[in-house]
Amino acid sequence: MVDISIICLVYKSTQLAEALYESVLAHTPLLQTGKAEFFFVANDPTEEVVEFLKSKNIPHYINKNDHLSEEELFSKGFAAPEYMRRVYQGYNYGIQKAKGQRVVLINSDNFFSKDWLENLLKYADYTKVVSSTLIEPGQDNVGIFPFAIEKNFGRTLDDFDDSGFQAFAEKISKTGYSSGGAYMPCVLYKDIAIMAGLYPEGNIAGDSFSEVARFGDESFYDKLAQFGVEHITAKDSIVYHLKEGEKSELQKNAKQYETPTTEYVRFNQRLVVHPAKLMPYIIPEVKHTDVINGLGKKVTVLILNPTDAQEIDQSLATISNFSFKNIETVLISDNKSLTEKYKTKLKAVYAKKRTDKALYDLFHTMYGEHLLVINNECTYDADLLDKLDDRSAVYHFGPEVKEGNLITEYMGHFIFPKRTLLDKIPMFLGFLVEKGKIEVDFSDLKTVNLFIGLPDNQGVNAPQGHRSIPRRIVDKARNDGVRGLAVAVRDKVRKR
Amino acid sequence: MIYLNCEVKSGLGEDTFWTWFGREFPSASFEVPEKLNDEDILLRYSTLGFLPLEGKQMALCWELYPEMKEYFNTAAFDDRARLVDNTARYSTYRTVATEMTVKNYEKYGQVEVIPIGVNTDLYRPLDQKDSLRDKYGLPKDKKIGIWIGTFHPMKGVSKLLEYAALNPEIEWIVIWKWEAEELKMDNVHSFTKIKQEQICELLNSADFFLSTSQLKPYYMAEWEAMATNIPFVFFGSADREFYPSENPRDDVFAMGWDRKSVKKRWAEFFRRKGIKW
Repeated sequence: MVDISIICLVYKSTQLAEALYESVLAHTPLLQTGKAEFFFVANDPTEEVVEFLKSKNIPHYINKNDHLSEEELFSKGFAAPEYMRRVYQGYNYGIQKAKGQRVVLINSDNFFSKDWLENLLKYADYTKVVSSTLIEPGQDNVGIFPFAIEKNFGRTLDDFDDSGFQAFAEKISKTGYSSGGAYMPCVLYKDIAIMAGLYPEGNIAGDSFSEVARFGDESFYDKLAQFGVEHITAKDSIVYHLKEGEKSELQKNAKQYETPTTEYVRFNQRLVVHPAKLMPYIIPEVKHTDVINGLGKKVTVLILNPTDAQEIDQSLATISNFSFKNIETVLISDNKSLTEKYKTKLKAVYAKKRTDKALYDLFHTMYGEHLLVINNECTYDADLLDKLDDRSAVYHFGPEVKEGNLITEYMGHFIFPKRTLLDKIPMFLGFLVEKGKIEVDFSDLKTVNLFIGLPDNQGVNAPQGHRSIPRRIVDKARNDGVRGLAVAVRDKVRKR
Repeated sequence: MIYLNCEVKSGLGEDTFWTWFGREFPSASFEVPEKLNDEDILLRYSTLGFLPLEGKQMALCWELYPEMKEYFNTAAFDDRARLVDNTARYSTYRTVATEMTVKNYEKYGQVEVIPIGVNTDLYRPLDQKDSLRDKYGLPKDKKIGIWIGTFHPMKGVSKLLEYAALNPEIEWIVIWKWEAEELKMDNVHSFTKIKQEQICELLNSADFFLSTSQLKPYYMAEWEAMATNIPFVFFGSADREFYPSENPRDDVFAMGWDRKSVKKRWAEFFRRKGIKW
């Protein structure tokens, strides 16, 4: 019985389709056992593609989409590019055609390694959408996805070095996962995807058609999150991403395949679905939950812009005093001699005037599921990190108490989950660099108070109501969203 | 760093896979790791259950619970089998000792077939049958069979008794794990908790090895017997995964069960996976 459906879109590249199909067949033994199925959605395909799929007997469905004008799309709330609507429609069509309870969505320019699918399924349950770790060549004009690993095994089908990629995948693959990640390849449950309304039919528009407020896949994952579905990336499911899509193949006189438009049920934003934290039948087995929670018990401790080596040594002494040992220690410093000095002891990042960029990268690539920005003004109990058991909660363990929603506190007295950092990147880029106490409002975050520690140095960086830049960042981000915040920053820069 | 997590490192002071591995890969540690770096690996005996720690982990799936369940048609092994299954599922890699058991775990990903390894320097033909029989008080003028095992049903002890009854002229060397299992019979010379060197000598004293195992894969004592080149007799056993040739010791080397070959396999595996040791 088919349990897993692997779905890929193709529209014009027969070469890419053939290479992908061969790669899937070679590295997916579950296809041979009948537990998994694979099919292409030939999405607005050319005649050549349809002919190719038929002649090679490759499983496929044909899906034709109507083309809307920019005005029509914008009136429906969607942004550029126009073709994205048809791409998302293609995936939605594929999900609905899937025979399996679990659907695996892949890109046509992916190449797979051993165990890529088994290791996605390893972590999968109704409360997870699990993505693969992407290896990307790092093209100059596109860059790499923030979660991807940059390693060039070819940028086109012709120069793809499969054996080099396979050897690299073997070396980096390891059991474990990280919050967040790429959006494909991924595995999720078909019924959950449908209940979440499937992909929106395009990128979500901002103030104009050309302004994307939220990409379609981001929006879909946001909806999944509302259902309590967590997005994680498996560190042992390794997939190469050429990142060229189907654009490189030359198409001379390519003719569109003509067939009546496929009828299918559409899910869009008008579909009202009530989010539920956990539906009665989606509770994973206890042992599985224990394993997943156990694998998530890991912490990154950041030493951020220390003034001198003494401060680093003091921080390292504090870290070594923790009874919890599954810790990654990172130093971000604008002092090159310091990063050179400590690079063998910890992960040292030299970031001259680019602390924000270094932090941005850290949020995406950090080992821990929680981040502690260590501050030598703060007090840390040896068993502090042992108490972290919720990957969605901000832990507060300082001596300060809340006044209403506000608290004036060192950032070093909080421990932040990776998931929250990724959700609110602009806010935390502003906060974490502050070494003194700042006034913050974390009332919209899930917060756990671990304990009220010993009083620290009184009088150092006492509450300052006018230290309001981070505060304003928070308010802006909360009230107007990330886009609003970006607009505000832009206006501020222009004024200056 | 290689971490080794076993149930019992060496219960009777014998040289096991674990003690051998610790010597061959001297940087290996028997600690339970608190953190695994990218160049580290944990080799974990699968009955211990999965250690929820990020990093490269290898489940050693040597127990034959699925085969035992099938043969004895019992749920008695289910809890242990689930534990093994869980370790195999979440680990980065999984290994079995023979091709026959790959099917039990391949649904979780690639399965490495790496034999456990026999000490062919210790277990070898000694060509001193008469003097060894003198040493152990065994008759020189009688045909002697040897049987090694426990009362565990998969070892087929009842088949030993049946074969002995059918062949009363044969004297027996029987090596037990525990004293409580010792069989009191006139034509049986029982040995318990003896050193591996003595086991080798007793194998060299006998004329044949009686195999009554109820499972298809060979168990360790059988591989060790093969390494001494003793002829095998099968009685009431299951269909075996292969049958030894006239020179069973050659089979051990040909199938890569000698420790030198096994070390090469592990070293190559570690190289492919980027493990430093």
